[in-house]
Amino acid sequence: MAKVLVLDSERCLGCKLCEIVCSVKKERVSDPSRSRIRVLRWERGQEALPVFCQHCEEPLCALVCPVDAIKREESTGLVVPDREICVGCGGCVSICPMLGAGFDNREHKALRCDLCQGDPACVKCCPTGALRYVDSDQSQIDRKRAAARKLYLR
Amino acid sequence: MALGRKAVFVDLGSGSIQVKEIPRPLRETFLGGRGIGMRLLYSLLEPRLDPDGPGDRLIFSAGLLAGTPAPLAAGAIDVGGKSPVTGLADNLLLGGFFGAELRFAGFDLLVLSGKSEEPVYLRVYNGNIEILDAAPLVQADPLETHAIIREILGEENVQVISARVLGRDASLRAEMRTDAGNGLKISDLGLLMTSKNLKAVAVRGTLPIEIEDPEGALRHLGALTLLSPSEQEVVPSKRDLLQAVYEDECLQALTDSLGIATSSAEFLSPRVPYWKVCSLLVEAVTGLRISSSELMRAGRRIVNLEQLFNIREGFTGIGTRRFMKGFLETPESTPLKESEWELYCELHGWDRQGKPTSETLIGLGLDEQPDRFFPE
Repeated sequence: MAKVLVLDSERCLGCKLCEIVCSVKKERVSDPSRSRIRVLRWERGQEALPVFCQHCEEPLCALVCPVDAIKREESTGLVVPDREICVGCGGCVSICPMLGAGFDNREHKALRCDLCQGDPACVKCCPTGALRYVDSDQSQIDRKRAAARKLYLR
Repeated sequence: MALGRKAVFVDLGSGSIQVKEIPRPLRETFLGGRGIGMRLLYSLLEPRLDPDGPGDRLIFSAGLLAGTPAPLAAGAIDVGGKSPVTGLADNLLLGGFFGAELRFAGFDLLVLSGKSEEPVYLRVYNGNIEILDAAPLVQADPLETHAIIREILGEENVQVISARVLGRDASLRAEMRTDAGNGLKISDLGLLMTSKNLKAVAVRGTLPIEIEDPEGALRHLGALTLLSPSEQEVVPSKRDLLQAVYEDECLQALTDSLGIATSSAEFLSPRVPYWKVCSLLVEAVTGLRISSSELMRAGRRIVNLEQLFNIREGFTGIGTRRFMKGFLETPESTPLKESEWELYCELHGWDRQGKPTSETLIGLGLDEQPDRFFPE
């Protein structure tokens, strides 16, 4: 069963540790601007929302990529851009409805979460458990439960 | 290198800005954050300086682990200075991401002196520092201040610390805040900041921080994240209570210097080697080899230097702020008994005046007249 990265936004503190951890793991330096996960913060409302690639069934980024650099990997089912082919136009960043497409401003290449080959570093370091790595069907059930609880239970 | 960040000295009176390296020996002995802040306060301030004058320094100091894989990204910032109210060394740790952002902007330390004629705010961006006119901020409350600065700079990710006076009398109370909810504190240092006519400091940076051993750092951070806080604290007996206060003081100085926030019960819990992992994490991130016992010693060193500072200012027979506030205000400890005060001093290695004994100072490497880092 495929596993997915899921977010419980109500648990997120907005500490941005996941950004730092991601860049250290992937780029070997602490540089949030090159992180595959980004935390959007609204300081006044004390709200934070981490965004990352959802590996959509019909990825718009693959559709708009002018050089066909973005493909679904057969083995993992993940949507990953090919760094060699990528021309750095940033089209995927603009089109992504989930704000999950990243961009390396140094080398001008697309960045995408690849779930650390099945061992996501951000999950291990999240202090509140807002990020979890679970089976995708389990995630669906959890979400439905959470939604139902809000609607029907007090 | 995580240690490559610089110190910047700003004179708000003349507008002069100097950038200096932070010497490695200073790092090894005082780590960062509150430690380096205290060390600078001790060496830069003339004894018995008038804290209302332009000579008092306001020091913003990022923790040793700021912006690296450390608990909560070690984003807290330590603010230090001589309190204009009490005349004692004062510091406060403000939560949020300011400390990390300061380091991403290329600096670990902001040392502000002098007084500005007009209200100003400071902008720090990727190695540049500007003093900007704060006229648009004069009427704004703190959160508005933050919003206006974001608008002026056109940069949503900027981190801001602002200060404002509470009430009409500008000499009584002031608050300082970062953006985060836990980053609001009423402090004498807020008065110091407003007395310099400094409305706010805004930082933003995108300079990467090198990590000595990336895999190691992530592994140790993962271990720290898994450690759960101890379920219950044991209520200590009288002797243990003072011991706990003493340990808590030293530990607080240590965690304020590393930039991580944790409760002492969690940190010292015998079940989990939190403080041992901390030492490994420091080495993986910075390359500084500091054993866990050496880290604890650094905490004691900082507490003792603060005590030396206060003694130099002419205060004797006083404990640390944690002791005066936390311990003395519990019903069972007021009034303070002579025997308790003696025990407290004994734990710290102080004489009955609260003055560190020469053995204590030698043991902590504070015995020589501390030479001045950052010579003028």
